[in-house]
Amino acid sequence: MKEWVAVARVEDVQKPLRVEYGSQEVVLFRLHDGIYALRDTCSHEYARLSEGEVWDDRVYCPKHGSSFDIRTGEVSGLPAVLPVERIPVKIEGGEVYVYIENW
Amino acid sequence: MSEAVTVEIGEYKYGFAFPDRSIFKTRKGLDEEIVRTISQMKKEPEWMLQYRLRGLEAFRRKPMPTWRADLSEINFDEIYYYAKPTEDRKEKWEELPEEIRKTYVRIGIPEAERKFLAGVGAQYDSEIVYHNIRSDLERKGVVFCAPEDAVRDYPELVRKYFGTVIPFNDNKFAALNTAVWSGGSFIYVPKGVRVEIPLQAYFRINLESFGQFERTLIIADEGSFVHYIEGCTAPIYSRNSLHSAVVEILALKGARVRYTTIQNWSNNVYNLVTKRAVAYEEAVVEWVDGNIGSKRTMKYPAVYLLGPKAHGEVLSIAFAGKGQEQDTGGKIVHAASDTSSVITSKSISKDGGIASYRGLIKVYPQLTGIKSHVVCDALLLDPQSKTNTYPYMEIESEDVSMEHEARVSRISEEQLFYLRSRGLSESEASLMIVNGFLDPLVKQLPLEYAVELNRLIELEMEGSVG
Amino acid sequence: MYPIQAEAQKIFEKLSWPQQSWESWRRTPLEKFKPEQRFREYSSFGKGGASRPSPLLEGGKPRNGWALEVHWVTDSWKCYPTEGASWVELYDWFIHLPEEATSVLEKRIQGLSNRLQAWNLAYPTHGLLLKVPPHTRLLKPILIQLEADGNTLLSLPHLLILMGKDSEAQVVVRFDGTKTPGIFYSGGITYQGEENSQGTLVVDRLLPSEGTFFLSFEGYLRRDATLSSLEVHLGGVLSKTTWKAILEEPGAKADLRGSYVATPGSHVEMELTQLHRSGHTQSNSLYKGAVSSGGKSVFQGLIVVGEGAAKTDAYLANRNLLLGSGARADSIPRLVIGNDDVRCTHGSTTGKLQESQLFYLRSRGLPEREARRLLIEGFFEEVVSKIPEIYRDDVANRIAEAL
Repeated sequence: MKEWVAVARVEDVQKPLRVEYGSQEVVLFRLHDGIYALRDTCSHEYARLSEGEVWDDRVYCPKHGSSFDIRTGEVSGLPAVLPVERIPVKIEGGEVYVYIENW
Repeated sequence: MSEAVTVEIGEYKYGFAFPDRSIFKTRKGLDEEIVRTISQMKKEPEWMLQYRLRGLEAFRRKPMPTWRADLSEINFDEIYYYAKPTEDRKEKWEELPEEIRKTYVRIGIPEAERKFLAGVGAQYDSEIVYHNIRSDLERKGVVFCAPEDAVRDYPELVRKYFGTVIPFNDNKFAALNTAVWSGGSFIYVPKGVRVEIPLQAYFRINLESFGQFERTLIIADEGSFVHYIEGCTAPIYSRNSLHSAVVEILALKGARVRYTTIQNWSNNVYNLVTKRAVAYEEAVVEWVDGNIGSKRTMKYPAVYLLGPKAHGEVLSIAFAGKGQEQDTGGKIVHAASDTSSVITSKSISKDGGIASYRGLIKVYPQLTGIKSHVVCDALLLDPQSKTNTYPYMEIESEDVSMEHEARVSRISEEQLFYLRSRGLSESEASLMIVNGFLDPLVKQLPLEYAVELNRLIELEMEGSVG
Repeated sequence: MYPIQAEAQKIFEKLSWPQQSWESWRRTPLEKFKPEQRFREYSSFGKGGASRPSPLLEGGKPRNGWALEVHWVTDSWKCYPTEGASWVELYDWFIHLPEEATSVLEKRIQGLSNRLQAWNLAYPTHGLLLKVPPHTRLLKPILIQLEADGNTLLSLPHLLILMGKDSEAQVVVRFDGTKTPGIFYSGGITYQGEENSQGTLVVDRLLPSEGTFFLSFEGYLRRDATLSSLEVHLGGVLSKTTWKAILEEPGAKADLRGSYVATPGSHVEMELTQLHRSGHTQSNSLYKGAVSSGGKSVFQGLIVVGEGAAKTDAYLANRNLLLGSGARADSIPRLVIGNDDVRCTHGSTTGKLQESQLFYLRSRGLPEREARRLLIEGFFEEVVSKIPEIYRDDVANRIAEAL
């Protein structure tokens, strides 16, 4: 069951921010046009994207450099070949909500 | 049965060196200032400097790989990371400094140039010294130049593809290369263009404790074909040399790229190379990888099959003699349906040398029509020599046919006996058997390489050169 | 305490629990099964002293076809020998452990590599020694069955098998945990085959839907000793075994087989090592498995030929059958060869049921299900045929069920 869950305050999202809800692991990014969210697991070898670097609206996994478009989760550089799931985000009352499983 | 047959060996010396004539050399060791200097000497735009610095940061952060081949002797602080031998590039052979010409005469470039080559980018201590592209390639729109030139003249292409196949923090040595890369080749083949004659380049390490960090990027646009050959020699020095190249290949839809290497670094060189290709729909990438020299080589050419009906192949020959460790293999990643792959690895160990195969076949989920075949053959020439095989197969789709086999053997006494009874000496017979062992791969090489390889094997197997 | 238990405990203290970062544990979902946590929850088991004399053999007859049946149910024992098996000796470690056993156990303790392995030697819940004396040949197989009683969630058994010179026996070891959902096993089996002994060992386990099974086997083969083994893994949430055959002296031979089915949601992992310390030894392994949709199997093989082990013949084969999308099979057969005078090969294939064969059977009128079942049975035939006849159908049926 997916639902909207508040995971952070807007001002907390400056650098990539990892948030956990139950067993869900999500990373929040602040780009010039808003806040975006992806699953915090690289599709290559499961490292945490929240510990990676952000360049030109892409996140680079710290383990082997796989890169993903932050807005879509699509792969922009090897060695990953599968995309990372994009998590829908909405901002309400200064809180960042993400649409994820509730367990 | 008599005791083990030990094959007679001699020392293969390819040792020669010329006094260092480099015009500019950075101090030893690596830090941000050195990276900035390199970028400045090459007159690079800001974005490339920034990318180098990201590589430097990643290089510092990443640990050394511990999973095989002892690399503890590499002292990063003792290496010179950059030297520029001449003022600028020469178009004509005659205009090169005499010493450099002499070096290449010994390696044999002039003849090769006359007979075989379409164009040569020759490297002397990190700079492209001699460069000559034939006019018909230019006419077809084929770009074959130094990566430094490509950064300046084809920035859109470079920015689009550079670092997308091997990112700046893929592994410690790719990170190092990202920071200090110099020289290498940039090749772009336009749609539908077939480059029938192999493009080649030679590399040398001359300066003591000097690293080679060439960066090669090959983009084969849709339906094109190119064969690139890389072969290198290096003199023997007292301190260790580090060769940490990065090769990225993109074969777009329907393209075919073959990349052949015969590596014969002298026995003090650490050869740690990251080579990776992506093959899109119906594309083909073939790595032909011959490793004869170096003290330690770690190299696993990879092909990522990203589009349907793509095909990837790795043909690997390794020769591990005294004090050498060849840790080679191949990686194929199937990320699309109806893709196929073949890895053939042949290795010979002698005088206590260690030849290891390390490979990966990975098939992602939800794919159909996958075929993969891996064969690893190891030949041990004496009781001191060793071989290891570490194949990894990770299969996550059902419609797969994957086969892997590996064999370890030695020169059988029956074979030897038979050949000797035909009048061959023991070393002639052994050489014949070894050549027969390698033949299926040697057949894949262009003629002059096949000849050079045969000669190298002969020298390794027989008495000393002189 | 049994003799040398203190030593085992000391070594247990020095070792660490398996880490996800270790190469051979990289693919194991350790975070789900937290052995360390279990260890803390169940502190060491003392052993209630039984008043049974030793060696242990009782009256009562085994079922037809078995030479000897030994049933452990938690703290109590039952043994049923035939006449022919009256020479076989059984010992409960906590009552009496003969001298010759301690030297083998010491060897075993020295080779331990992590706490999970050492656990069942440092704090075993059951310690049993099966000794087949020299020149004893059993015509019918022995069954050793360890049955969980539904109450205890933790089972740490260790079985030591000593095959005397020139002896011959077949042993089926069966761990039955079906009564205890959530049961956690960390078991050990140690085998020593003396000169010219011939042993067959089948290890089978029945797990409830939420069961975890770890087993570590180490076998030492002396001059001309032969061991034929088969490990059977059908389902279970997490199952991982390390199976190591050490060919210590010339003439030793090991034939090691495995059959496994990774059912949906289960992770079945096997680590196999063929270690040739001596030359003139032979080992041959064949591990065959089927993986259903949502299941995962990992096979890690390793053949090691030591520097002095000339004239070794070693073969390894792994065959994986994938039975649905979402099935995953990892195969990592490795070779570490230090001598040139050897014959050594390995092979691994992974694929699905052959369309052509399926088509043929269906054109003979067999419904799809039947045809698939028949082909899978045919696939496992090679390894299942090694099982003593009396037990074979049991396994064959359960393979069919698992699919």
